[in-house]
Amino acid sequence: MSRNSWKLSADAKMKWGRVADTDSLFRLSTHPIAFKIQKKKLVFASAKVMNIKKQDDGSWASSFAWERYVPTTELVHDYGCRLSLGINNAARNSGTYEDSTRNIYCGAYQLRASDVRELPTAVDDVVSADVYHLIENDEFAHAHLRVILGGKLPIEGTKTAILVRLWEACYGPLTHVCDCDKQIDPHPYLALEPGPQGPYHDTRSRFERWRAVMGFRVCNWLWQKFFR
Amino acid sequence: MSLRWVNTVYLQPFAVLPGASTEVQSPDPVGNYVKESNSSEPVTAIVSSSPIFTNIFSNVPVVWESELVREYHELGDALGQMTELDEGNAWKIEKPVFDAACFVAAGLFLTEQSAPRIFNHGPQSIVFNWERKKANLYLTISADTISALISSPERVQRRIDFSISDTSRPALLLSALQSANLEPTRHFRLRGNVPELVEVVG
Repeated sequence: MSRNSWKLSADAKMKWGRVADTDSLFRLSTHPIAFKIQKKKLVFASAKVMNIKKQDDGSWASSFAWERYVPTTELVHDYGCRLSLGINNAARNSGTYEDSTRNIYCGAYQLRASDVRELPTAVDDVVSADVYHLIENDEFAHAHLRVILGGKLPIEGTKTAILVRLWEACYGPLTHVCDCDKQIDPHPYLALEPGPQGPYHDTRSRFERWRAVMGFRVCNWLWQKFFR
Repeated sequence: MSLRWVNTVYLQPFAVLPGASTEVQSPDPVGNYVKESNSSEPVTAIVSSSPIFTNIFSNVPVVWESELVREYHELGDALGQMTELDEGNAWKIEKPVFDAACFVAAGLFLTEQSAPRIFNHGPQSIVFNWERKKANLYLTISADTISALISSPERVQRRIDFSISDTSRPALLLSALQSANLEPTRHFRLRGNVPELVEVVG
């Protein structure tokens, strides 16, 4: 049986399970994207942790890492380091890379899928909001946020309300220094602000964490072997 | 009284509270005057020689004039820099947004509001942000609209949208926000040391 015959349909390939309301999502914070210049210094800008971008179909989208497929903090940070590496490689390929402004992964903030799905009741003019698993750029743990706006209120104000509500739902940060950034002193992760909901907390039982890690290893093996 | 006979003017802050009694209050050891008000009616404060303005936020500091000028200078510089950034930069804002933001900032300065923090989520708007004890205020300013959002960690408390052309003075917007942000008990507090009497020689 050929390798190709093992490949499932695009939908099955792209979505492996539903993101439950109680599942954690991680929003990764990198420097300098989540920082701003203030008095000639780059300082952390919490308002830049979240972002939504308009899609071709008129919806608004953002990205998270889904805890089911990054079940440990180490795996969350591996995801973040790969994210920064990908941004820097893209800059090198386009000829815009500068070492002084290279992307540096600093840490991750945690929120729940329920916080996303509550946006229609929390924010005026949000018609629907959902988050689902969507493998993107070969990142198995990527989850896609999709928001539909009604268009009855000024969009810019609605965007602010969405980003504010998502930030207000955040725990953390989980901070990290990637191996390639260990020589940076002081590291920008030191500037990350506490999440409004408090420090990161893992509500899973020890069994649930073990099961999540086992499930990740199986799915990741299947993904690497048959679908990449 | 003709000013030509007055060659020294002293500036003194004072506050007028609704239902004020004849009680005279002394400042605390660091020079702060604190008066708790259980009234839901607007509180009027007069500080230095500025026009009468309505206290909007119970804990937005009343900053002194020189500090205010410096803060708004920095704000203007930041807005200007954001306009000059390259296309595609995450902090870039469009020129019409810059113009609208300066218009709003000028009004805020004239009403002696503390300068806001700023951020954006695209080139088509800028957000002015003040952090309060119980909730934060966000003004999303685009080329032709202002969206005011009051949000606490628990929920969005209020949202008001204005057209720039409908708002002749930003103070009207802030007054509307005050009326929307109803609290059964408000604490009115003057922050900062009571200054030495300022001598203005005319």
